[in-house]
Amino acid sequence: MKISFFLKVMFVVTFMAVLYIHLQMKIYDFAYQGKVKQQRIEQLAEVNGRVHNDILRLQSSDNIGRELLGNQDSKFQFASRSRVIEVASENTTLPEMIAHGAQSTGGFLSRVVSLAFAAPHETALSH
Amino acid sequence: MYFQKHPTRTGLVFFVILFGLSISIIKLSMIQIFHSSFLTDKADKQHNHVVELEPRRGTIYDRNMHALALNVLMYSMYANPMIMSDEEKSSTVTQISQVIGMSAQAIAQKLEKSKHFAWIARKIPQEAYEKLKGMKLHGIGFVKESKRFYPNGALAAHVVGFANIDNVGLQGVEYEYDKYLHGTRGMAEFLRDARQRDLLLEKDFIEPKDGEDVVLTLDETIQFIAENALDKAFKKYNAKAGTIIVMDPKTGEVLAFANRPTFRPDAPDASSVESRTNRAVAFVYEPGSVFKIVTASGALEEGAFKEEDDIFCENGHYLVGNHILKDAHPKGHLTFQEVVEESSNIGVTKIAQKIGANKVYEYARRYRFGMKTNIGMMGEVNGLLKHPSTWSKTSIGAVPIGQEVTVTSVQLLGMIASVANDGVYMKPYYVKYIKDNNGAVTQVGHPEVVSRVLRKDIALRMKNILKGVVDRGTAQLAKMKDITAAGKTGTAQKVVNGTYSHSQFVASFIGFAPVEDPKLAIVVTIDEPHPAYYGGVVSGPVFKEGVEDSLKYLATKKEARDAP
Repeated sequence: MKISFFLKVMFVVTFMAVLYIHLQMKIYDFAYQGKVKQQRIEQLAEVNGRVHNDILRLQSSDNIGRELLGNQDSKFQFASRSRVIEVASENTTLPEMIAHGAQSTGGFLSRVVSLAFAAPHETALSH
Repeated sequence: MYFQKHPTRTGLVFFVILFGLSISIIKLSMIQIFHSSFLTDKADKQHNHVVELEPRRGTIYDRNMHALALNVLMYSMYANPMIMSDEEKSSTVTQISQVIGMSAQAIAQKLEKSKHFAWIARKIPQEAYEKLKGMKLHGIGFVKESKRFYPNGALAAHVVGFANIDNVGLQGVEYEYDKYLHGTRGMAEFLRDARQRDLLLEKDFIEPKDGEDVVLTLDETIQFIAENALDKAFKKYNAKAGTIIVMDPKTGEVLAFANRPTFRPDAPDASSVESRTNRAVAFVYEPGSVFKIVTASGALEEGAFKEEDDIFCENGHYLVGNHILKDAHPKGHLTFQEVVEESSNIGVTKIAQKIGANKVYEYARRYRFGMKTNIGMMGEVNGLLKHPSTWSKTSIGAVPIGQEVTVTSVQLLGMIASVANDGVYMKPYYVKYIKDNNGAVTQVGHPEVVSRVLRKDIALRMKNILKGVVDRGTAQLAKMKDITAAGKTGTAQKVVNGTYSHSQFVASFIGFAPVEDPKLAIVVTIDEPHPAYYGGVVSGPVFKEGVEDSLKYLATKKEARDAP
């Protein structure tokens, strides 16, 4: 074997070995960085978990019920259907009635009024 | 040339080199062949770290997917006493004791152990953890663990139950469904660096299998309504104990279930064993007048009586065997319907005498008295229902009116619900379904028809009679303005030292509403109320409040669901 060929082979092998070691070190470096990020994520997840649990506790029926209804003097009570009055009219709402009346006279004024009072239909009042 | 000139010197050098190489080869052989497994293990322990991965314990939900029990992460504190000096131990004891409130002596005992690992306190509050972590105490470390959290506090405690510090269920759903909830542990093997720090490089990984979630039939809101109503009566009448159960009579789904006294699932040790006992299924008592439904419905089913049939109630005194049976309010002539409305002991006894002891027993068995309801709760008992062959001469004046027989509250619920459900007995159940982490349902609870107790037309007549109890009879305090209700009151004397007490009673009301389309069947029992003790006075208002608010809530829910 010639010395020059031997040296070339040795150079390539050495280069490959150094590259392998470099890549291994990179992997470990990323592992360390990942560990730091993982710890941060875990911290945030823990905080999120605690907040979530606090929300669950606050919005639980037990907590809300005791706050609103637990007191003997509480004025809160469950909504009752008997306290809702529904008012239904054939002629729809007042604004639409006005618009309808204006339209029947025709002209520019009716169009302006009908546009101004174009509102969704309301069917229930509660008190 | 040189080697030929100095053969001895050459030989010596050669021998020394050969000797050195031989030693090296022998040493390498020792390491590589004889000590290889030991050294491999040691290296493995240094380079690799096996971590057991705890699975997430399943969550317990109500029917609307509101969490009733779930896991939270908490920190547990440990010490490595072997690396701590005496001075460090002494100062650590003082500091830890001040933060977590544990006795210094107890902490010092743990630090005296000759171990590398000793628990100091498990699952400490977050504030305590942050304080202790900030102190950076030498030899003290923290491990993350999960702990059970109950957002509703003591709500539905006897149904949900509780788990111990190692997340093993000990009572209630936590215990009965522990095999679904606990999941399977996993494992991960991480690489470590020279400083024994874990790297984010896995060599091996077995994913933990999280526990399955259990969805109950309970409604969190109705549960609160029921418990709130029960609490008011429990406190007002200084009662010893109480129970309320709410069920959908058509399906058997239990919507609310509560006992008093109760306990906090997150601190079960702070309560007595009696508080933790599920008395609704495990305690028996003589039901008293609520049992008259058995006799009355049996008489109608047998065609022995009609509602308008006249019964003479002996003006309050009636001899049965060698015992004088009395009515609380002496009556003369009453119709069959009025006998039930006014809860006449004598009237019901005469009804029982006409249909006979065997028929009374038969209908009691139809209503599943003397046997379990199979609701699926631990500790359920059968109660006691004697066969007529063992009845005494006075038993015909006792059993039909709810004496000499013992029942549980859940058995009474089954009875009233079957009347409400047109005579069909539905098995009560409280687990709606179980699902895994992917949302796939693995088990389903479903309505189960057990038997037909009464013909539909008889059940309808019975409903009407029981409606009369509320409209005109002993349960007028359960009457509501916009909702029709039906039910039966019970004021049962307790047996104390072998005789019926005149000061200790069980006040009950069992009923359903609305009558025309029953949505709720409710049983309320209050043990030893005073000064008032009548079922209609003590338990009737609890039923009323429970029904009114629950129906309002259900109507609101339906509207929200049906809204466009």
